[in-house]
Amino acid sequence: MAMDPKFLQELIQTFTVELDEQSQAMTDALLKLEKMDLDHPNYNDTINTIFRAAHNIKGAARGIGITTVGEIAHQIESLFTAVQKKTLSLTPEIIDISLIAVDKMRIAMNAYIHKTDLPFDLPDFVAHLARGEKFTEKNEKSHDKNTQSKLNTDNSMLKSPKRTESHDYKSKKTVRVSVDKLEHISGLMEELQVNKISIEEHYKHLATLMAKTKNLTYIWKRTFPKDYKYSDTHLQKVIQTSNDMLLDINQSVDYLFKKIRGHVNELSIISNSLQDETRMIRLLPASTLLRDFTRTVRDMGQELQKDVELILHGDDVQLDKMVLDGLQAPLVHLLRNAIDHGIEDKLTRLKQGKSEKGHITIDVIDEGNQILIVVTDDGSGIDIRTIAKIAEEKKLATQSELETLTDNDILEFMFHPGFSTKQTVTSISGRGIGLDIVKSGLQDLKGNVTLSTELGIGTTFYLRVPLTLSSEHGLTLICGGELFVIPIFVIERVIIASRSNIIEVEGSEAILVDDIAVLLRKLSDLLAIEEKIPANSDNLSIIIVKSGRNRLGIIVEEIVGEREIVIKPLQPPLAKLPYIAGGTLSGTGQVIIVLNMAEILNSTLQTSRVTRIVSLNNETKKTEVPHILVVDDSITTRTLEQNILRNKGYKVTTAVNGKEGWDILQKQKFSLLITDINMPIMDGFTLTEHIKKSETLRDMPVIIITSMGSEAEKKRGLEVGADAYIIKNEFESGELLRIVSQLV
Amino acid sequence: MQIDKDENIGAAHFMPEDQADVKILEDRAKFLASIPLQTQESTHLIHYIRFRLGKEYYGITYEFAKEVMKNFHVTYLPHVVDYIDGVINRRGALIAVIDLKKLFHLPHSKTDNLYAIIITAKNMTLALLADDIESSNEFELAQLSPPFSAESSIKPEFILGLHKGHTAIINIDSILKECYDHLSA
Repeated sequence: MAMDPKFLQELIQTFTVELDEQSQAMTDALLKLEKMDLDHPNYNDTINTIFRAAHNIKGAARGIGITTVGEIAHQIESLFTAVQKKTLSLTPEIIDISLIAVDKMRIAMNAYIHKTDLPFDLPDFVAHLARGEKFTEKNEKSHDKNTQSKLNTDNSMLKSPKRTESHDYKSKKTVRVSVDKLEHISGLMEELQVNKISIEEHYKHLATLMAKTKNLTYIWKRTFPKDYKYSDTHLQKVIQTSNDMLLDINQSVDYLFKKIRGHVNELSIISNSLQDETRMIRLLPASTLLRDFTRTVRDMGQELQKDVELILHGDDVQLDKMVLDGLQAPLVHLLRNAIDHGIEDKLTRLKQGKSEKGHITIDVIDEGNQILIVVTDDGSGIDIRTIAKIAEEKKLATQSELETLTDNDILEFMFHPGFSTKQTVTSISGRGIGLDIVKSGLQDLKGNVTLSTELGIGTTFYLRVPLTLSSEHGLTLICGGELFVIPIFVIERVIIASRSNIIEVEGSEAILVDDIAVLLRKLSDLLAIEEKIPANSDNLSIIIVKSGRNRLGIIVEEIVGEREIVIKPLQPPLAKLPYIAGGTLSGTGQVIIVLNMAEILNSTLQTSRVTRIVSLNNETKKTEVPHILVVDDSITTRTLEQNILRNKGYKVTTAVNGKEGWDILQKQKFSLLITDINMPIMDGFTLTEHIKKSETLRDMPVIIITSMGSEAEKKRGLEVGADAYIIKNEFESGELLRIVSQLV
Repeated sequence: MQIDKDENIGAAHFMPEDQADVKILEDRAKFLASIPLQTQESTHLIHYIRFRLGKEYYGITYEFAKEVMKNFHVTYLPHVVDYIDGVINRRGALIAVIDLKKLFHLPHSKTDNLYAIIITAKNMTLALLADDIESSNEFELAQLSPPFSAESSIKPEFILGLHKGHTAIINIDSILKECYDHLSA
């Protein structure tokens, strides 16, 4: 039964890191809790953080047999279970002793690694901890043999042979490197690739040059044969020299080409494999995570007196380290559940004609850009009726609702926080947490979890995670001649439709998808880019995107294809831009903008009602759309006014100052002018004055909008001939639209 | 951490071991130490990179200018203020490209914007488009004459002052502030 000592060392090393991280999380949460009121919105979350951290430490410590740490963690967990259930009120003493407990776990871990005695009285401390009492350190000298004898729980561990090799864990040759550094390397790598591609281009030009020289030499030789004697000696000399020079050039180019060819090829190979390696740095085989579980399963089985075996398949599949780390907690919970709830005791198993030994299988399957992890047990399965009953009891659903739900929908309730089917609490699982941890853990990894079960046969969980968190897939498309990317996960489907398929619903264009009308928008309109879709083309590329229950059809110019993308943030001050999730780099290092479809969807569906009203108005009036010129040097004001007016169906042109406004007015006719006062080059007063003095423009109404609120300013505005004067701080869209409609 | 160690090889590592060489170094150090420091106090020269926008010359101090890029592709950004030309990739970082001509209301032509001067300050990085990079130069703060504010279309706060009457030294802080204000609004 003894474990491979080398393997145990690896486990201990992993656990040391985990203990550090979890202790830190616990300390942070405890300190936060100290300053928090009971009704603070984050109060419960913070309690939960402590509880989960303790729960995780307990599980892992027991998994590798560090009972001292496990015992302390167990008590912290119990303490905060009571706090969570409000059977115990949180006192400063509890926080104090919990903080001490965190330190004690570290001390106990150290003692375990260095094979020294515990420098404190564990049973005494645990007793204090269990009661949440104040704890004062006793005289350190008093603990010696006395304390040692009390530690009978740990004695078996002390004698165990695997302890003798504990010094090994330090010598492992690994370096922890921050992800930032890796990102920086990836950045440089991409830069190198870009340069490599350029060099390959230059190399092609060199090849063309060589072909041309060869051709010229050939022509030259045919035209001027070498042995031919010319009557003109001067000509003879020129031809001879040129001949020699040409041969020389030919040789040089040939030499250069051959030399460079070798290096270009080599550069290409090295650069490509370097790029692959850079990507691979973050990947680790699944076995680094999974082989820990063999021991966990065996020990948990022993504690519950069940004989369980873990079978691993495909643990050489490689995943991102961050994904693997994120899978740890969910998988431990699934294994615990399987052993505690799933696998029956030996007698029951034999009665049902199953093997005495229970089996849990973990399969890791590489699905291309996703990794599927299947956890199967051959236990009792889950009774869907029980789940339904509990869901009803816990008021997660009503009786009538349950009747309409499918079995799969009912199983979903198991992922609800606070749902547990186990009636009694064991030390391994069944405290009412578990599957919600699994679900939230998977969501953090941009993955998901589903399950299937058959009563009496067993239960299977399917965990899907992306290969790496640093990249995902996106659809590249063209809009207004520019490339954009939409992440695949928001895309429901892509439709090539003819114009006749487009219907009109409440004044808006829509398309039927599975008999449901989905609103359509042109991407060029959404992004305010000039459209380049030929008006006569009948085939439209439509991307149906979804976010929650909302769907929207996006009409795009052209779909280029699918590619792997790494979304990079835009650097400050560009941080938050509407509709933009970030950028990704093309093979040649160009930036391609990744669109934030959820945001586009939400804002489109919000404004679509306004648009509908406008389109109806347009139909009833059938008059020419008023064209308004907005002059303002602030982009924000300009955009704001432009949007308000456009949404109301007006045609809008903008100018950044009085001069530009004046120039535009000379070329085009407008129904109305809206101008700011303070602008560079030519201010609003001057512009208005010019207009009111002009024969042709005099009749056009002018609205002045400004932040200058003084009476004198207002008077001056009206003196120069403005028809209305709106002060910015009393400026509302309703007010503006009212005045505009009066004047137009 | 092991990586850092390599970078921290001290200057002592490069000290010559030969006695004669050491002597030369010591003498030189003494000589350098004896030069009075007054040069630094009397003239505080600020170095800047001089570049052209259309027919006008501008300068950016090296305190902010980090790099000059050529042959770059600017990607269009929808829904941003007109003087932001788009984004470029600078070794994996996506940074905003500012068209100073639009910000300063200067005339535009198609063959412009061959260079991008990368500037950083206050955790922000921007690429400023330039038609041509002229030279390095230096000025003293006291030498700068106030920018013309009356007829010029450029906001006065964008310019620190004119050097020798022809090169407008750009106030990077106010440019960054302008961009930041627009983008976070």
